[in-house]
Amino acid sequence: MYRYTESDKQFVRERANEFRGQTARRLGGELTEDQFRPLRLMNGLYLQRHAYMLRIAIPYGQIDSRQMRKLGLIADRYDRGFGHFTTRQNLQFNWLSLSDVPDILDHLAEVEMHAIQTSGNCVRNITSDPMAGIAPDELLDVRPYCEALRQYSTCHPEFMYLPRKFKIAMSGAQEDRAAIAFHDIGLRAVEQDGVVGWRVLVGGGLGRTPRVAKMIREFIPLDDVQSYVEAILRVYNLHGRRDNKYKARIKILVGALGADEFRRQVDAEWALIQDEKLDLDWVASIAEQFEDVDFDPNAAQFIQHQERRLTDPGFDRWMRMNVTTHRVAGYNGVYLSLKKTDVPPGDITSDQFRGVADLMDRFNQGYCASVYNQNLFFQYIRNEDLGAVYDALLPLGLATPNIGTLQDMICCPGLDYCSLANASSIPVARALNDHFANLDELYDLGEIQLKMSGCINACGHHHVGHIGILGIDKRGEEFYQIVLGGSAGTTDDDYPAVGEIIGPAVSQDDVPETLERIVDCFVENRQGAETFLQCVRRVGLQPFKDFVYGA
Amino acid sequence: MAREMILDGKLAPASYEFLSEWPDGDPGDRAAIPLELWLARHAEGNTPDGVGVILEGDDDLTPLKPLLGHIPFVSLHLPKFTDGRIYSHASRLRRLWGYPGTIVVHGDVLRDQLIYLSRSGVNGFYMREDQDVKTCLAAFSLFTEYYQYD
Repeated sequence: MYRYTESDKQFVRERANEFRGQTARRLGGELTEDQFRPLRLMNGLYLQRHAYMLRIAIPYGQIDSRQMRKLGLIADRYDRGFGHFTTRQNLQFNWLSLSDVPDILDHLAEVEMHAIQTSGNCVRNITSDPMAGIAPDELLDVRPYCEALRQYSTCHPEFMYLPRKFKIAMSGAQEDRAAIAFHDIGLRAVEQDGVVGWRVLVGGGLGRTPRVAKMIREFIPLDDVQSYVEAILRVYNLHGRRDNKYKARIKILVGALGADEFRRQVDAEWALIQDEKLDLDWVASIAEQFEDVDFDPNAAQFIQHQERRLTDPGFDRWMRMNVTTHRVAGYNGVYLSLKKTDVPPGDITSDQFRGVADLMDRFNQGYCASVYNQNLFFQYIRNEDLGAVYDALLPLGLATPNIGTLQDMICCPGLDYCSLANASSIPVARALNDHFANLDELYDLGEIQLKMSGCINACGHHHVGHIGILGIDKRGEEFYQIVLGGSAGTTDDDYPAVGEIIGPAVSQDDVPETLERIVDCFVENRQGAETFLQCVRRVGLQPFKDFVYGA
Repeated sequence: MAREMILDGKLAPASYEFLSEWPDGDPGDRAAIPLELWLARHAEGNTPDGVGVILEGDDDLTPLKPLLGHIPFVSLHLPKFTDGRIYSHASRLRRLWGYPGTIVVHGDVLRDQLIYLSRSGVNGFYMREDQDVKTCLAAFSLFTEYYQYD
């Protein structure tokens, strides 16, 4: 993974020190909350319902064992013994005191971590394909480019006060596992006449105005990515709306100007800076740091784990659901499910932080990844170690074989923590898990992505769930709206789409039964091995409406 | 005590004037007028050589480019400290067009934005009236490492 240079270390220390001063001025009354808010947000600190929440960046979802242990220490010393992984690969602590935050940032700096630009109206942590570097379908490992853009956008003086937050995602594989069409800028590595470059998408997003991004450039050369992003940011900074925060994202500007006029303005800005090429030798030196993994050439010889599958049904289920193929023979990717049925999705305890850190050292070359669906991922597990990894994950509660099933739902913290939420998402997630507890039934249903948000800001990405659930407030009561047929559009035979509402919102108690009816409708209408999403797209919403609300 | 500003990293007398219309007498060499007024006088054949220009966030700078040689300083007006547009104006003037004159910022100018304004190309700062100008100078020595413009 990327290792900080001396300059990186110095910068992160100086940034933490700056925030220590700002916090002291806030606590001393010298800074008003109005002045302090943007400063704390651009350092990842939110004021929530009960306490301060700190969102820590995990660039490209990559984390090492030293960092994992440090997160366990912070959870115990400053929080209530747990943290929460988000849909953007980051980690949040929910129960902090403002006066502790400068010390926490110092702890993080010690292990090359930070919370810089994980919130605020600036360029956020850049997300990538979590399988970058190990995916068999990869054209380009985008992580070095992510890192180049991360450095470029970190405290970029011109772009710290954008009209609104700004999210960039990069993907270099056939399958887009980074949902780039739902980002402010989505960059996808593509090949044209034998040359690799970028396809540029702009103006996607979820929230209250879900939009699929528009393609504004079919191809730009690899080393133009930084100048082109700068041109986009400049047009947005100058012309994005600042009068209404609900209309301030770049998707609104692109919609108002139209893709052609937006492209014309970007190109005019780009013409002034197009000679500022990204130094590809420097990118290559970053790339070397990501290649710090040794592969055992004999790993493929070991196949005995196949025998255990025949005699141990639990292990077999886990192999089927939580283990993925790897581009190197004899190696596997292993998901650690943070979706145990009795805990909020994405939550991790300090004991789990430490337990995972030990397994990272023993089996996964000291590393781990956090992924979009709020789980952890071991990228380098040898065939030979699969059994031992499973045996070690079981007592940690991290071997639930439910990846990709209804139980693997994505969910925001909701009303229980967040001051924006209308409805609790976590208790609903719990009730759903109790209701859909039979794993064999879930396997028969195949892949169903269930995503739930506690409010219209859509942190749980309900718009792109095959089934999406949105919490709304109706006369002071919590209700839940159901949408169907959304998708982040990951593969070529899939496409990005925003889900459609199937009818009136239902009460919290009725959510599990409503979902059961939707699933029953799918079972009744399903043809062959078709997936839930394929079925919804084929038959449309009407059969589901009839099943849920009566014909 | 007379008001002070920050100029090139040091305290200096706050001697610039930000006018909303053309003055009755000689404007002197420290006055600035809105872009629209500056361009209007230029179009009438009375190019206000030696008078500065005040830019707002939503101003289009394009017509200014061929006239920069006539303009001794530019002032960027910041109505609210969270309005980021003038950073792009400063960057355009300094980095993209190579404007050599003084770029001043006035309005809702606070200590915690100084480093970004400065690195975007601003070198003169009229702090908001309630700010202690002297302690604001500390903002310039917080960082020794940056990721841009090396």
